[in-house]
Amino acid sequence: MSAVPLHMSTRHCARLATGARVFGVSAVAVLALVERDLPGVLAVAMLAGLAVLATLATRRALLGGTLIALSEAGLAAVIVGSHLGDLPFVMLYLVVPPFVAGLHAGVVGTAISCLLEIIVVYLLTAPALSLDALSERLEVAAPWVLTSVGSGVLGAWLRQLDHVPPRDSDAYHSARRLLGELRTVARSLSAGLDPVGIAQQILVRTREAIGDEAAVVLVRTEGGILVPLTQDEGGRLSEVGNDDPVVMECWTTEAPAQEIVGEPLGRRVRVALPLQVGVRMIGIVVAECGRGVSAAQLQILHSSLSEHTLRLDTALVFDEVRTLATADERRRLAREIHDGIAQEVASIGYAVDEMIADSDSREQRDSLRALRNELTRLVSELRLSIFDLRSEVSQSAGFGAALTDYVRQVGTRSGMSVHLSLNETPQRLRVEVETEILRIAQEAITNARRHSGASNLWVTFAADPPHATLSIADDGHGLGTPRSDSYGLRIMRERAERIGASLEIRSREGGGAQVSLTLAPDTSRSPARNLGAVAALRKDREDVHLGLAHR
Amino acid sequence: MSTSVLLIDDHDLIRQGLSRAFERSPDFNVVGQAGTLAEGERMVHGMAPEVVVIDVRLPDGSGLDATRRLRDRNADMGIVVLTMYAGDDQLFAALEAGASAFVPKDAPSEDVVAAARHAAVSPRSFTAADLADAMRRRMQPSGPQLSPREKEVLNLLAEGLGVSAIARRLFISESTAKTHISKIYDKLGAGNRAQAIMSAIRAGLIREVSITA
Repeated sequence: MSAVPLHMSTRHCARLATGARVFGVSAVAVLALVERDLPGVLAVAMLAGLAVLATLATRRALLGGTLIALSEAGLAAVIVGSHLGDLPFVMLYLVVPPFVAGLHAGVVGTAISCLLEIIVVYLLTAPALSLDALSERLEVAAPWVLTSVGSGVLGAWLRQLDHVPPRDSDAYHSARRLLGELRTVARSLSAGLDPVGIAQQILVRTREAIGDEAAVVLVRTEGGILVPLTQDEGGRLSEVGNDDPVVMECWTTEAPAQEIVGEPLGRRVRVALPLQVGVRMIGIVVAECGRGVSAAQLQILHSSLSEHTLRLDTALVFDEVRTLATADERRRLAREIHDGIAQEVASIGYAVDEMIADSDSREQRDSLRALRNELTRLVSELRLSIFDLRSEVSQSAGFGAALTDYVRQVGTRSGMSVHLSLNETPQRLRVEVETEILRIAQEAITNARRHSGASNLWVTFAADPPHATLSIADDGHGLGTPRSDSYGLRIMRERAERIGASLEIRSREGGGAQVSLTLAPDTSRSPARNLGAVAALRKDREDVHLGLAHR
Repeated sequence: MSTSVLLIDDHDLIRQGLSRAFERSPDFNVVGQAGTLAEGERMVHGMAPEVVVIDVRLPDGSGLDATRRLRDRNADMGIVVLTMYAGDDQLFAALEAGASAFVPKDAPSEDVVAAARHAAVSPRSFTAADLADAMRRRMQPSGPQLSPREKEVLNLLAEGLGVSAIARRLFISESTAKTHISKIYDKLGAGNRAQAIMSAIRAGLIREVSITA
């Protein structure tokens, strides 16, 4: 027996044993029916009775499984042995008990069970037979004995193989299966799980249905705030805020809503369509048309978007899970560096301090000091890595605050003058997107700090969701040899790709390098855009502000 | 009479390195070492060392919380906080917890000894190598950030110029000027010109205003 108990559950074991008994009894019964004589039927009935008895005993746990299996072997052998003379076919049933014994007690059980059967059958039949008849009988019996041994070994093997865990871990098994499926989906459909791409499909669908001139997809984020995910190229509908009447109406009634806007300059109809998964609102499509849209038309569009909505919701949840998992992993890494290598290198530094103090040769002291400086630099780098790994975008403080914190800590430590310029609207990007942008900024700033030898660093960030631009420029010695294959650059590109942004790395005019990130998740669903509505919208908004200003 | 020091850090090699550094200076005497907060705090109460050197992160809790507890019990004990973490937050947290000195772990062991020396003499003051820079960083405005163009517009607004005057002055169209103004209002969370100017003054974005009402 193996040291680690790999037994199948008793339940499963009993089920297999019952199956074997049913098989045995029915096989013998079929043969008995072919023979059509009373003793055969009686023998079958006795075997069936034994099978039922053994099954009941197992289920009620009257005896240990092994003991039941062995008793079964003995009794079956008695029945078979006493009928063997007239009905050789009943021998078939002898295959069953070794199998059951194998299930319960492994190879040892099988061996005992087979031996028991052979002895009992021999004792019941052999003494009455002549030597010739006996050898003849043996020839008939030998294949059955071998088959019994084989089935017993099969039972023992099944017992080892089929390790069924206890019932309470069933939940884990189904979770494991679902996660496995998710992994497959994520691998094969990584493009299919891109929220922006799916939202763009929704816009295309919307245009086909109602022929709008500008549209935007807003999705609900943590805290119940709607943020724009994607919009038409050139469209300025992202300015539609959470407090827009049509958005509010749509959100509260969970039904399509319409309003007329831009009355004096050009009548426009603004339509808001709920994106729902079941009864849950996950977002809203806001579109602007030159004419009104019938309720029926809206209803058709609404129901035709249900599949896209489900896909969008899945993609958003997946994105969130991925971001959470990554954040966890970063914290774990930070802890590992903090508790491991960083402390070890720091303690080596202390050891070198001691060597410097103990050294009497000036030359040796100088080289030890150089070593100490290197170690100090190394520990500083590790501290900054830990800081990098630990810095996160907070839901409350906003992206600008996170970037400012990071730039101040890291940029100013490097001896570079840092020029930070932020231009944010009150509206936020999704946290998942902000996180990727922060990581790209970190990587670019770290590159500038380590390799550029620059004296100035310009960090510029502007966001107008769903658009954003980030630029990190320095006046160092430029890109030099192309490092496009470098690990850091590759990671930056991957991050940019994940959020559907474009990343450009080039030499800066007047020396140095510049990393520019542009996030513009606009659809290009129509080359010619009617910008009238958009211009009217903007004018409208400014007038409101100026009205306030003149008051 | 040498100063008694207790070291609290969960890394043996760090404690060993520091304890040797203290042994090299005749004015210090390491009276104990602890790898956990529980052990360390027990030793502090038993031995009453003059200076405690404590790491920020320990297996059973935060060294900063322990610093606060130690300071509450004993106003005159020198407390040197050591850390592997970067970031000004750690430094200011140590200051607020009542530490006497703050030393990052990339500094040579002599710096720790020097900090302990300072802590023994004036436990209720605070010293850190990066203190001046950290203060400077902290005093930089962290409020709303305006683009250079928006700053120009804001200054003209503060001078009392109207939209068309601002547009003429900056050689931009009126609608562009209006866009800048609405952006400024958004960023400052203001609904009108007066509110915008008040927020801008509070955030240190403009200094003088001549309000023409």
